[in-house]
Amino acid sequence: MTNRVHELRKLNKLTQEDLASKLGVTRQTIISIENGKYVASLQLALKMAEVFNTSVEDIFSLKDGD
Amino acid sequence: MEFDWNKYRKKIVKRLVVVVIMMILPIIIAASLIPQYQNTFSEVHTINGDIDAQKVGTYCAFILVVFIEIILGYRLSCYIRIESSEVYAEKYYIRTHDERNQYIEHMSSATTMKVSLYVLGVVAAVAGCFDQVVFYTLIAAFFVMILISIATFMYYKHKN
Repeated sequence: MTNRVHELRKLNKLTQEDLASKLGVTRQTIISIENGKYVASLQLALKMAEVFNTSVEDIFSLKDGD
Repeated sequence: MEFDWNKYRKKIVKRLVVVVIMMILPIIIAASLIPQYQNTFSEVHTINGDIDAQKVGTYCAFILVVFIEIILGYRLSCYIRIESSEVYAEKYYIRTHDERNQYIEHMSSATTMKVSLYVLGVVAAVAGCFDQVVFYTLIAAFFVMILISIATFMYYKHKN
């Protein structure tokens, strides 16, 4: 699973702390998602899509072999 | 789930009462049990002939009570802070409801359960070579743990 969270966060001029507080999670969770260590739940992915004003597919995508 | 301080405060006040009761209870139990069994322990058991088992037991109980009290005291301080500060309450709420933290907690407890079962089985087998009573106690604990894990598995299977 790959994601564009880091890219979209920078595009929206948000810090990790800002995004975390908008999503109701800790900053550590954002760091883990951006590094690809943790895969966000469907609920969090939908919330993220709402914050970035885009679709979930635009943020997350499957890698070959997933 | 959105954070609602008033709703969360009410929940925390209930927890605060429970924690206070939980803090008082071990002290009452320890205070009532230790003098009652003081003579019985010292008459029946001695370790290596010179260390009084009752004293060892009392010290262990005392350490356990202190340990429980420290943990509960920390919880109590968190709840008092939540009750008085909305900013801290929100931070605490996010920390405890964060999905990654919950995932880590879930995974670690699942692994702990598996490892504990394995270790308990090995320890029971080893203890069987030395002491029958310890062996049966450990085997009983082993099967109780397996039963609990089956029961919780069935519960969540039907729930989801």
